[in-house]
Amino acid sequence: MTFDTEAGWVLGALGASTAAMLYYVKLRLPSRLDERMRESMKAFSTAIELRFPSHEGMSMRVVNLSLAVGKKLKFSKQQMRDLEMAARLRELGLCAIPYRLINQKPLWQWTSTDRGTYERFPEVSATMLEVVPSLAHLAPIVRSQNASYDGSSGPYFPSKDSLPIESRVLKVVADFVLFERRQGTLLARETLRLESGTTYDPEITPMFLGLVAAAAAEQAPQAVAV
Amino acid sequence: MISDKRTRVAVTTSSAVIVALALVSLVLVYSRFPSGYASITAWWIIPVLAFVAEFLPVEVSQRGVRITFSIPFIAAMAAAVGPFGAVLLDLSISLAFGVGTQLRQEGRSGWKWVPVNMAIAVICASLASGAFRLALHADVGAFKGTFAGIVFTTIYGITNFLLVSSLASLESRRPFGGSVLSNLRIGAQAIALYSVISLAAVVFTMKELYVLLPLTFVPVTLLRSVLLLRTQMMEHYYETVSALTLMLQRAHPYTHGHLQRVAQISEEVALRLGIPAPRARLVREASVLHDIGKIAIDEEILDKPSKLDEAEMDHVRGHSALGAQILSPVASFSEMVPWIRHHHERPDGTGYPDGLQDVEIPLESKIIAVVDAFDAMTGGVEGSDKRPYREPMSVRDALGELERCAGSQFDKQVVHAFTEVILRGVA
Repeated sequence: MTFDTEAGWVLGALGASTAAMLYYVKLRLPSRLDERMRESMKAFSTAIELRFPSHEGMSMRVVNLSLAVGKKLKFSKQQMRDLEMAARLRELGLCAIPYRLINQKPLWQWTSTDRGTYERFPEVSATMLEVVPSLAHLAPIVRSQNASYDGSSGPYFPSKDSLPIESRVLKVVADFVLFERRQGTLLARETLRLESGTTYDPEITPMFLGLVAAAAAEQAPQAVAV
Repeated sequence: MISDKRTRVAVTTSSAVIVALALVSLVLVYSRFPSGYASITAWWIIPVLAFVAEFLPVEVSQRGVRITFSIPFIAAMAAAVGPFGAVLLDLSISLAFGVGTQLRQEGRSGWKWVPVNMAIAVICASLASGAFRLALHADVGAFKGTFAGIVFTTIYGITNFLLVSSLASLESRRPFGGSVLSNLRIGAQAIALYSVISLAAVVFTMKELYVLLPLTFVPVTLLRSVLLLRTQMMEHYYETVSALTLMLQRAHPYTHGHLQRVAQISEEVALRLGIPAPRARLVREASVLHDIGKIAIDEEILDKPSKLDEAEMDHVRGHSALGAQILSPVASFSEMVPWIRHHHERPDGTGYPDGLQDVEIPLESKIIAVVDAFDAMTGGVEGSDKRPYREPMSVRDALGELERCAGSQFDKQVVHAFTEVILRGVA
């Protein structure tokens, strides 16, 4: 057995390679993978926003608000990741909704058939995600994104605590963003408050409304003393 | 000339097995069976590590290319015992892994590759061990083991790489150069890191520092993680392409067959124009995505059977710029974004969206333009994908139309290459 200069140099080179690979595996590559994922999500949401310009900016707002709720609920790292990706990809199925329905037909003219067509989009989104292996695990979240908390959406959806928690978060946040755009912030908050416990999760809703109120207070202009 | 794929593969595998048998014979004749305490230790510790390493493979491409991590320990066996030991170890590992894999899988189609992989293992181990023995006589001072370890890994890696690439090229009928280049991106970094691990295994073995050998498993598992993550990134890229295509097909069902045909033919035309194989592959992927902008186009206008008015034409013409806008956030697509944006430009400057002149239009855009137009005119296989606004043309008439518009709407050189591809029945 001889531990000489050559063995010493080789052991050193092995150590240096190990350190370099450790850096790559723990830091560099995971962040590059995350970056690539985010870029792809951006491409998908850009496609939807170009198809339906009225949805521009909504996707990012839903993502940011959902992550704020997830942080408040102390989601794990994996849950936060899934929530973010589900928030970005939940509207994929809108590509199957007729162009003119959203872009040209006013909401008040929608028939029950039109509403039914629109409400299909979560199922279409989920079906598309199921075809992509790395995204298939998001399908149950996206499928239930519009399901009512109390189970009134129908027998095919889980209800209450059987609903994935990410879906319950998305339901609250996405509806708020939609109502906010259509009716303004005050009415959007009021709708959520009134339907907490029925349409919306009774724990997530007040937490979310608190976050929104706090954010609004931070942005409110300071009163000027006269 | 061998044209049948099965015959080609059978001839190749038989040749590989014959060469391998010849090399095994040479090794048996010229190697000495080892003896001694040190060799006994080597005979159990190195094979155990090699077998464990072999059962940690990583699939690095969709074409089934697999990287395993036993090379450092085969190198160590060459150092401890000689070519006989290295060849025997590599052969045993290939047999065990091959049989184990096939028993786990359904179907019998993979069994033919077991003797092929064993043959490749023997050829690589024999040549690398021979080179290793020669390298031991080199005058490199105190770093004999280091030098010999690098030689072993380099010869083994290059031989394995060339044999696998040749087989892949024969099976897929792709040019050998293209296959080598595309696999090089996958294998070169692994080989570089292997060199360090291999020479460590060789040096520790030569100095009988067997207690340090298991330490090499730490960088081996990290190297495996590096490759797994890189594979994940590549898979993610292809999944993004699939998902975007799925979105487009949901919005416009007619595009389904059209995209696949345009993609396949575009790659063939690109290769015929002398574009290197990796770039031609990118042209194929760009062709799959070239109409992605149509997600943002009103399907009632696209499907309108009658002539479009000017406003409707403007709306439809927007799809090429919109496609570039959708793909621009993705760094992996950056090279193909201009190809997609400009796939409706014309050499005479009357195209859209930017009215580029001939020399300003990327060649790849010109390829997509020709193939796209031909498929639109012919409506795909037996006109199954015909457009709602016109009846499909015959192949002869469509080629005639391309020839008529060569120089104005389409690039002459691209039309010529495309016609060759169609007439030779490659597509």
